[in-house]
Amino acid sequence: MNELSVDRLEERLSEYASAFEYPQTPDIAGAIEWEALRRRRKPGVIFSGQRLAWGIALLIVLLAGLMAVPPVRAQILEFLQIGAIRILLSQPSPTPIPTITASQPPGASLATQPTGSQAERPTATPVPTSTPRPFPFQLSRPSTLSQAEAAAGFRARLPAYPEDLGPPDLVFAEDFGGPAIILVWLEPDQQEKTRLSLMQMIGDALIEKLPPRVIAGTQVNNQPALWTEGAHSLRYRSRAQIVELVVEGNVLIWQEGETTYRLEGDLTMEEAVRIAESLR
Amino acid sequence: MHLSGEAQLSEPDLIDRAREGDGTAWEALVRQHQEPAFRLAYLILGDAGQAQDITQEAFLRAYRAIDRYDPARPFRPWLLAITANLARNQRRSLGRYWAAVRRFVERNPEPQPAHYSDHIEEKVTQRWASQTMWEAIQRLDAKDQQVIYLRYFLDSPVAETAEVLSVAEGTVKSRLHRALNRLQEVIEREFPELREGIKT
Repeated sequence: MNELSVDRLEERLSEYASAFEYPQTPDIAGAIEWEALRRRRKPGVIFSGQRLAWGIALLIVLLAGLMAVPPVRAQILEFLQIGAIRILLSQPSPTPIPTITASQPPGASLATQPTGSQAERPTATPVPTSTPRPFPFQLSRPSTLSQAEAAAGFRARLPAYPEDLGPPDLVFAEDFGGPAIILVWLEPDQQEKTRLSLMQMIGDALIEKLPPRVIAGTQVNNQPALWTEGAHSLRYRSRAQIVELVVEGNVLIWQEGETTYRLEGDLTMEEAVRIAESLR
Repeated sequence: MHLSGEAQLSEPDLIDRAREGDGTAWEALVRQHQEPAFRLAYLILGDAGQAQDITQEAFLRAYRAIDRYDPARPFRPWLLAITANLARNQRRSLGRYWAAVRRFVERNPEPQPAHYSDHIEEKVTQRWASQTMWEAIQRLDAKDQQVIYLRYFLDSPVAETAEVLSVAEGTVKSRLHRALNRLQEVIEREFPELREGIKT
């Protein structure tokens, strides 16, 4: 009898919504280093496994050779990219970064730039706020494979080679600007040591890799792939923070469809390719 | 600064320039759209700091994906869709925490001064009504909330709302109708004071 009518509700809703008090809009435009972003957009070569064929792999080898000469490196390209992984070909000027402790995946050391830090990184996006964050950045806790797949929204592929590998010992669902699943196999007799790690990511994920000692072109399933050797840094954005991982293993990077794969371990290139081509 | 000159360019021109690597053009676009994006993120998340992070992330993602953006379509719904998706994902992960914080704040309201002038009282009443309405909306599911935020809080026309939600305009209307009915039920059941305020 005395019920609230939807028409009346709609009328009041419009009124209340227009009177709603928002916090002041922060200066987003002024907070982002657009010039740094612009530099990251060009010039570079983005390799797509679907569009490019064997000739590109040769180009990678050629470029990798040229990159050995620093002035040539600077003049030709700023990065090479396969899928979501971009290898920067020039080392940004070093700037000290504060570190906070976070859970570390095996085989990696971690440094992060917390939001609101005074320090500047070449690709960092400062977030001007003095409010302490309720959640300091942490890598996700290990989960089961099915939980990680549900969180990431895609199915992970597992290697059928080596035959004794078995299921991964650790699984992480991460956000690198897009969903990612990280599978980790530990050395059977040294559980603190990583035998192999396989990262799979889709969407808008983007990981930047500072120049490793060796960059070479190869193929996975007849598609161009990159092989790197030597310690290098990985850097990515996660919820307005820049995270930097120092990686020591050799790495194979390739793309299949929308998914970018990154396989890391104490492997030869041939062995890594064999593992990559065994994914099911 | 040539920002004022950039701001006079049409949106497609700014996007073209941004694609070519003109950071100033992109900055002008951000300035044009940062307020609705931030407000939508704030409505979904209920926290200004989180909303700022998400808005910033939304612009970064939009910038990275600018080559895939169809310039024939308006920019704002595309950006709002990215913002809403990010905010929803963020809320999913932080949902429990923020729910607990909200419950705490609800249990511990700020003490109010003893006397107000009529004007202040009216303002406070309206503020209370807006905030309480928002709390009632937050009881709805994410789809219902989003359509209400877009249509009533951001004043998005039906066509734009449809674009943001990737649905037909007719679906926006039916979804809105359903959301209002559910909101009505929530208010009847859980917000008797607001109900009285709406009826007067």
